[in-house]
Amino acid sequence: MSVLGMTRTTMRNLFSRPSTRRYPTKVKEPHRTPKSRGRIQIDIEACIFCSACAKRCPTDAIIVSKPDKVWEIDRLRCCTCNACVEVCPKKCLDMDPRYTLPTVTKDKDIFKQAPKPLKSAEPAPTAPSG
Amino acid sequence: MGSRTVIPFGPQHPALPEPIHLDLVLEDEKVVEAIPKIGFVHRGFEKLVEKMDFNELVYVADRICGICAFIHSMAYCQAVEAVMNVEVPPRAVFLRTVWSELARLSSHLLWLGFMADVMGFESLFMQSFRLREKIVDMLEEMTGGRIILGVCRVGGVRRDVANDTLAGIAGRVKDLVRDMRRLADVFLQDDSVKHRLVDVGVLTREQAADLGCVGPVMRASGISRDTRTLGYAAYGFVDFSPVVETSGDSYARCAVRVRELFQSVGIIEQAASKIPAGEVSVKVSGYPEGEYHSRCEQPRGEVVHYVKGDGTRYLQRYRVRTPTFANIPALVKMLQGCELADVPVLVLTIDPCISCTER
Amino acid sequence: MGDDIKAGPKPGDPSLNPRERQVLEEIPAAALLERVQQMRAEGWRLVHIACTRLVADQEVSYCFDRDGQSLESPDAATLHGMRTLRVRLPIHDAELPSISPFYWGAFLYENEMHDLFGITVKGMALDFQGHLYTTMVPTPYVTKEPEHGE
Repeated sequence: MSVLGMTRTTMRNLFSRPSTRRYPTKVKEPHRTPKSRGRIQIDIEACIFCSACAKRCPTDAIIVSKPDKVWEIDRLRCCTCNACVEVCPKKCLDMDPRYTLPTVTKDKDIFKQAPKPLKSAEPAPTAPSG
Repeated sequence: MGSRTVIPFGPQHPALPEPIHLDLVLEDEKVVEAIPKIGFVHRGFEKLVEKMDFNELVYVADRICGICAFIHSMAYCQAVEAVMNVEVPPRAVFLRTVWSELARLSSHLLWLGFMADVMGFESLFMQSFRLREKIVDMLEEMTGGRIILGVCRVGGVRRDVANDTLAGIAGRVKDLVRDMRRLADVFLQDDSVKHRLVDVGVLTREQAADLGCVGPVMRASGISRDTRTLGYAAYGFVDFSPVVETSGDSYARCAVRVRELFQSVGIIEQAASKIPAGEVSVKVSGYPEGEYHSRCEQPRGEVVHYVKGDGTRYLQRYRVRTPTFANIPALVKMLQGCELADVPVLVLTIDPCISCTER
Repeated sequence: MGDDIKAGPKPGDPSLNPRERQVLEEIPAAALLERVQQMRAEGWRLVHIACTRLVADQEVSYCFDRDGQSLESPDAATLHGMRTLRVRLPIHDAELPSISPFYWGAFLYENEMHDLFGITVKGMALDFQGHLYTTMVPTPYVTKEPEHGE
């Protein structure tokens, strides 16, 4: 009669370390790997607003507006597929692997690029010559 | 002759793993007839060909199922690559094979856990999931996703894995064999498990061939067919043979899946040792024109992705025939003549994945 | 260890990711039952039934497979084989006989054909009367969206 085959395993499990990660009491950070998918981040100052990311996004979560210099992402539509990161020509998009907390509102994240200062025609002032 | 009662079972039920509805016609605790009904999670995926172009459909293919996701996307990519005559780099093909087998391990361990749960053996259920968690963590380290990997693309794969990481993963999978062996011993030799599974839901070899079953359901009835022997992806370069049992009852179906665990470990080791160097993706230009049926072996059986393109960005037709779709007629036949208490066990032995079936 | 080239397949190796040979046969709708009976007698397994809506008509493909045997003499690049029987039907009021006498498990495919494409199939083994998939729009796969994408 073999009914106690599982008993040895159960006893071993009873007297050894739990196999679950004790988050958030003992382990402060949830388990992530360098390639884990967390959320998309953008370095808005490097963005050229070419809209390649918006065209590639399968869920239409990204909206780019070149005249207003605004890049917005709907966090709840984004499925973290990484397509926008791969296609960006300026490499200003990045996948942050950290765990994203749940949200209770359907907000979009809107990034606006600061207006760049105009380049002036005169050279910088130097010591007078002669 | 006793009176007949009709009991509706599902789609929501504590003992039912998937949203299938069965009208069980009972005669004093014996099921006389079972009428299935599906359609509760129909999402209409195949209509998305009109909105998403053939490159974006990979994301849709990934999300058809929540257990066997990677093999769907691989089958779709293989179909489009065959239509467009794209030559996928060998390294990508081997990586796809390794990921398919890891997905198969995680799916079979999930099934074993559910089987134990449905029989009432909770500690065995937890032990299976303990093992499965390690496999799924390995997938996350390599690709970033646990189930929906999102790594396949038309023309290759999107992420590369360094050779020593791959060798490390193969070593860790091999270390799990000892725990898998202990789990297998409980499933195959424990008396309480055998009492629930042996001679329950017998499907003879002729019935299995008539009903068009696929996967472990067919192999447990003695028919030796495995779609991996077609040699798609890198399966032509690894040694394996289909796992076959002959008794055709639930115990045989359980034994096939248990033995396939060890077969998958062997395939992963072989593929990880033979993987060539090179790039992992090629650029694909042009649009698909033509049609092809791409067949892969999912953990549940043979899946067919049929793709038809007419030369534009959007495909004309994308049809997925999942293995559970082909196994539901077998379920209906198996349920005739069983006891009421065996119904959840029988529904689970075909490994239903109703979200795949209805897309 | 490292990235030294292992003894694996080279790019272009025909046994890496091979393409399966698939044969297509167009038949008139009247010849369907007889042809399916022939396939059954020869031991073919029904793989799936697919409908495609084309521009002016629909086509229904019955796909069969006989594993372990290629259709003609095997050569290196082709393996096994699938045979497809294709029937062309009009878009509206299309009718077909059921192949349930030969393949009992075909009832799911035929109900799906009826619910999504509007093809009437006579004599199904288990007829759900149009309630297999309950959709808001009847026969949704036959009506096309007017524009693509956004």
